[in-house]
Amino acid sequence: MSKGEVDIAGRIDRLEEIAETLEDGEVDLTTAKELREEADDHLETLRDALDVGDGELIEIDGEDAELERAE
Amino acid sequence: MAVDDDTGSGHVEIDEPAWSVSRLNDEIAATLESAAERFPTYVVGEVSDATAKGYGTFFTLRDVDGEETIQCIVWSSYRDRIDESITEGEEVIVRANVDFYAEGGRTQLNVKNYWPVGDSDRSQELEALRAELNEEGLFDADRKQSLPMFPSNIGVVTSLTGSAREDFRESAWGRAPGVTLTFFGATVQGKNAAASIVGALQQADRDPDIDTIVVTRGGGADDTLWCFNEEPVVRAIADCVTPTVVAVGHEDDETLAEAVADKPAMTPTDAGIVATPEMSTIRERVETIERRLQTGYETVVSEQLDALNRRIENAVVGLERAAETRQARIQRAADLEQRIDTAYTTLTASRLDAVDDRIETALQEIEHAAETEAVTVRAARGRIGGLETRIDRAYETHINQETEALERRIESAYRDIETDTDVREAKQEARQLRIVILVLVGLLLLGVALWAGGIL
Repeated sequence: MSKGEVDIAGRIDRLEEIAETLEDGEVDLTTAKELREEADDHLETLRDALDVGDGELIEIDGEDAELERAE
Repeated sequence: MAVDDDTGSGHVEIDEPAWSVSRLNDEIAATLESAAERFPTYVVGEVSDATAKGYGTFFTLRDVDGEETIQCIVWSSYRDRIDESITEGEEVIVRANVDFYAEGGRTQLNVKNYWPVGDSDRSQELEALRAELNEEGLFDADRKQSLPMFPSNIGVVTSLTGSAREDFRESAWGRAPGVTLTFFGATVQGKNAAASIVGALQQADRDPDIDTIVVTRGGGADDTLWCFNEEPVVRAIADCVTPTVVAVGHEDDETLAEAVADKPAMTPTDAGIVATPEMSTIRERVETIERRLQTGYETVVSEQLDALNRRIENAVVGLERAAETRQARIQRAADLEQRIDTAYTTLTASRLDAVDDRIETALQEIEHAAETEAVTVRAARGRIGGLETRIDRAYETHINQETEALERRIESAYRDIETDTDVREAKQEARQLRIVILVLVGLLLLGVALWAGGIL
């Protein structure tokens, strides 16, 4: 899955919800385990999405580009 | 002139504390700053009293039709970029913002550009285009697109050789080193700039890999930035399907391109900040959440396990008590069984003995009754036999007596009949007597028969 296809913000928000739910402590063991497994999935996906190397730099030159006057 | 009632008295009483000049000037500055949107960007007037200093030029701008004036200052950083010289007596249009110099308590115009009125056509065209675009709603907030929070490929329309390119690259990669930057080279000043920018923009917008477009260039004189006010460029930005960021010139430069962009930025560096997330912050946030998750999960599991452990311990105690109770009940049941067996045995034997006694007694009574009855029957039979004999004798005696009496009477009657005319009556009487005798005999026989039947 490419980084662009990962809803990073959505997954982080969901992780926040899960953390708050677990911190509230109002869940049974089964639910806690399910939430933990879901959180682990989100974390693994986020690590893959966030742990990237240097980005690529591509230049597409226009036909009649002119030098910008530097300040 | 009105005179305040308080003047002239030696002592003044006021309801509220008096402000210091400093506080007053600060309040005026804050008020003017908060009302900045109410002031125009362009002001027209006549220049007078121009004084050039190293750090800037002061001059007075007088109303064209009146005597009203306002002080103006052009700081050297702007003055050096203005092509026109500031000439006293000349009617000019200035681009400026209202500034309050708190230390001196003066309101002045902070001039950023300056045109002789003869050159104001361009400004008028700009305002006309601004009004047209505004009428079309191109500046409306509700048509602004949100930038992707985590772009993967940012298309940058700028000069490939300008400082803006490096400023943006450093800024963007400083925050999000993994993002791909695709630079679409364009001419960003001069007569070909508009066509070049529009071409690069459209190329970037067509590229499916590009999820954010940044249009940027560094600062320069207003003339060099003018292409970003040209209608084709402004409309091309407004037409982009891909979210756009536009950063042209310095912080104080304002162009229509920035106004129609989904997100304006002040400088190329700022564009890099606006277009990219701070990945280190994101990673830190994720790590913080991960720690919270771990702690929260461990706490929940620990508390739940403790609770379960307590329940199990309570259940074990309960089971032990139940087992003890059950064992006690079993023992009690065994005791009861033993008691019941004993009681049953005792009760059964006692009752059987009683029943045997009763049966024995009953048998004796029955035997005794039978013997008594047999004696009685024998006695009755003997008595009946005696009675039969007596009856038979009495009957024979009676019959004989009656017969003899009747024979005598009959003989007497016969003698009477024979001798007496009443023979017929005697015969009649004889017949009647015979009938009576027969009836008596029948009754006697019937009584004997009934008596004998009653005995049986």
